[in-house]
Amino acid sequence: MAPMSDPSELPPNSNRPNKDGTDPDLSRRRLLQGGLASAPVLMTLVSRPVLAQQCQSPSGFVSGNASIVNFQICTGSTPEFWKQEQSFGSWVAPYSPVNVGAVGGLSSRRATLFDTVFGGHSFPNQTLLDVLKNGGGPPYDVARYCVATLLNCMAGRIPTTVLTIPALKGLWNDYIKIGFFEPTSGVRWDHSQIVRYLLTTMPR
Amino acid sequence: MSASAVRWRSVSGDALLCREWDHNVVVRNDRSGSTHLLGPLAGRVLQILVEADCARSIEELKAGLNEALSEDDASDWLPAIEAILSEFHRLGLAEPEPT
Repeated sequence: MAPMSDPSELPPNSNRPNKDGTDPDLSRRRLLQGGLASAPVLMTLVSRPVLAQQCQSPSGFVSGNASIVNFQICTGSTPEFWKQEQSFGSWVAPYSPVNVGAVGGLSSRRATLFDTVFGGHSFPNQTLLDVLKNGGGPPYDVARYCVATLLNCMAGRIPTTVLTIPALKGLWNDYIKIGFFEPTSGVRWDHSQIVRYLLTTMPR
Repeated sequence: MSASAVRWRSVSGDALLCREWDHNVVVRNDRSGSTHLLGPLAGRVLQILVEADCARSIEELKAGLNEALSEDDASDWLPAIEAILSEFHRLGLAEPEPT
């Protein structure tokens, strides 16, 4: 078997003679013409991070993944992760799962209230952690996933091109006020569709 | 709209790492996490798309391949380029520009 040359950067168009003195245009023509009869893609190695998955903005999700350019990688975690005590260290300030007393040079922080973040009076006096722990169907399921998504956004696990915190708050407020979220004109997501979408941003 | 009127663009060049290897092209797509081995013709088409500053029609891609074409070949190339672009679309290497 002939030895393979080292891989190299894609060359710009060049008219220099080949090392063996043959016409480079002729060589290239033969190579490219050979492509007419062969498969364009000879081999593909698929490699996707175990703890990451492709995700999209809500409107991109509606369009059925029609645009590959809008695909991003999300590495968010589910409500199950964020509500565990061993995950509290992953919460990003200013949000806090519990009251934290002043330690050293760090100031104290109170557990963050759901309504303080998302507005309204959906869960009076309930903290983000309380809402994560709430069981049940709508609206508790949507609230749980909204909190997890908020923490994922803060932790940089969801690209801002996919979902921003203001957009997430808008989603919640639309849902809690009118019972659905409209990701794009004429499309209405109920609680199960919202949860299904948010789950695409949290593979673990 | 006819297939030849569709304009194509590659994903961002920043997401693609390309190396020529024995006349074939190895391309790593950071967006999909996949690595592809392209034949010479597909590799050249991808190179034209990546270097282009805007979307390209199939006719423009064919013009970019002019150094390798003869008039006798012309009728064979358009379906070949269409097949390559279709495969690029499936693999997430390129997409048709929204109309």
